[in-house]
Amino acid sequence: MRNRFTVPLLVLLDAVLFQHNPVLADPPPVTLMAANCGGCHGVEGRSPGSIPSLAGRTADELAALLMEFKSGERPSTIMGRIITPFGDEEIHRLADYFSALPKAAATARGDE
Amino acid sequence: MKPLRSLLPTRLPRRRFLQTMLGGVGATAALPYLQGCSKGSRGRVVIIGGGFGGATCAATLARSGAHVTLVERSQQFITCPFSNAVIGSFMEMSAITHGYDGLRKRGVRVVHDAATGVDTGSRQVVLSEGLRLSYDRLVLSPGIDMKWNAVNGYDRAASQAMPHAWKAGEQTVLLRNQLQAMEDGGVAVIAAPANPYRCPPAPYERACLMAHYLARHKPRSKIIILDTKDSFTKQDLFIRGWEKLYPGMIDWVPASQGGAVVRVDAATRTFYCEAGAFSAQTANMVPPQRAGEVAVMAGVANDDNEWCLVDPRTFESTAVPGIHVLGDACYAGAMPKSGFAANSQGKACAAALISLLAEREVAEPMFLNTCYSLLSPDYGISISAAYLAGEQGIVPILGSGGTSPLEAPAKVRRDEAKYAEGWYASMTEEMFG
Repeated sequence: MRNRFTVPLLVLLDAVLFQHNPVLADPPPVTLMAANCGGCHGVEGRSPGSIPSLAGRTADELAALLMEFKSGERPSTIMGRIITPFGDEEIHRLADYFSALPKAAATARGDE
Repeated sequence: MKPLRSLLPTRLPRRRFLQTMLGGVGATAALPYLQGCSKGSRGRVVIIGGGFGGATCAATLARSGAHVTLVERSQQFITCPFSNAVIGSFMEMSAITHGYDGLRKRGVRVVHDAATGVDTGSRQVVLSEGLRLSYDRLVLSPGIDMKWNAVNGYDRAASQAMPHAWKAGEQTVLLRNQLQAMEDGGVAVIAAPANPYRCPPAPYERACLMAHYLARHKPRSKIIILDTKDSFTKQDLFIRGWEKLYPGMIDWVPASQGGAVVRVDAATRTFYCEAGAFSAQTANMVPPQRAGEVAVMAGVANDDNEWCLVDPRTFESTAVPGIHVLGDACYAGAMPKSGFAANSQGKACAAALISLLAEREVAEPMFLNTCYSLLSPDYGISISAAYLAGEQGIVPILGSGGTSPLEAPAKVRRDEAKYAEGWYASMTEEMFG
């Protein structure tokens, strides 16, 4: 691979010094953040497989779970690793977003 | 309190987001997750390539009501993820084979044809029988092609005797059949390429799942990985797993010990490298790769004629305006060439296309990748990271992600194997359901 991607030392220092309570300054829209959750948790948080669904659960429950995964209080395989740099605000936005989605898809498959 | 954005190599200009995108959650959340494109809106999107990048992008655009045409040569898509389980003889090809009816039902026009040319002047894709498709935005998600003869003697014909199995399908079956036909005490060789290539952990997962099969059926056999690298992703986790699950069965020969294969002889299934000549009953030659042929044809493989350089927010080619390149074919900074990465890029690109076609500002994307690897059917490990678009391309959010712990109880490995299946179910439903 080429050297196009390098992390300057200053950035690493910055990370070490200021990583207390990171919040996205210019956050992606919650829709674009949440679309990535769908990679494992299913489209709009409705999972067809072994990974828990998110849609329609209360925002309080989802936010509490993410906070506990982040702190390590609640063990996880992957979620704790992913959520680590996200701040309270992003966590609440994601929790609010998924809690407002219906548990079942709004339209039957193919009924577009 | 320090903004996360400051952890990126270069501070980005602040951007304003559309109210409809940021929006009050109450206003948008009950609606499809990419709002803003109503049916019949202007903008013809043509996507070439119906894999993880292209199918995701098509499905996402369709869910938002956009008109989209998907050009894909094959009637079915066979996923590379879990193809190592087929080679390990505990999954069938049918389990990794998907059709395009789900996309059709969503309103995507699916055209099974080969794109033979791209007329960038008139913005038209030329199909095999001369039919032309006009586009306002063209998305290429062509995956990879092999660099034939980069390893001396390894051409398309040689791949019949020494399959790469790096595009799932007939090649997968060839390699599985070699393994099944091997006698107890035989040798399987996997030749792994230098970076970058599709799915970095896959050669090592493949060794594990071959070993899973051999340990049961042909326990005196050996697997030798001849590597063009001196290190690889999740290396400690893999090596720990080999020692635990398949003691003495897998040998890894790094480049520093002469493992880089420079020549093969297909007639005798022999690999040649500084470490010696290795004849194998199961001969898996994974050659160096480049962006799929369509990208070269369209003139967007502008990174040494191998990969495609793109804008990290829109995936628009830096070579040809109006053409976007997704997935393995593009150079996506720190993101690996994986199905999960292509899926994440497909959704970000769809959102960008909707904004671009509506002549609105493109919102800041976020990306995610998780690569699961199976060391056995109930032993999974993973590596994961979240990414943002920076001035120097796509960069990981510092502090996000990482690998599975080196020490973990069997339950954690079982859970990760179970979640690997769950990930596959979610992602394939998103694309093809």
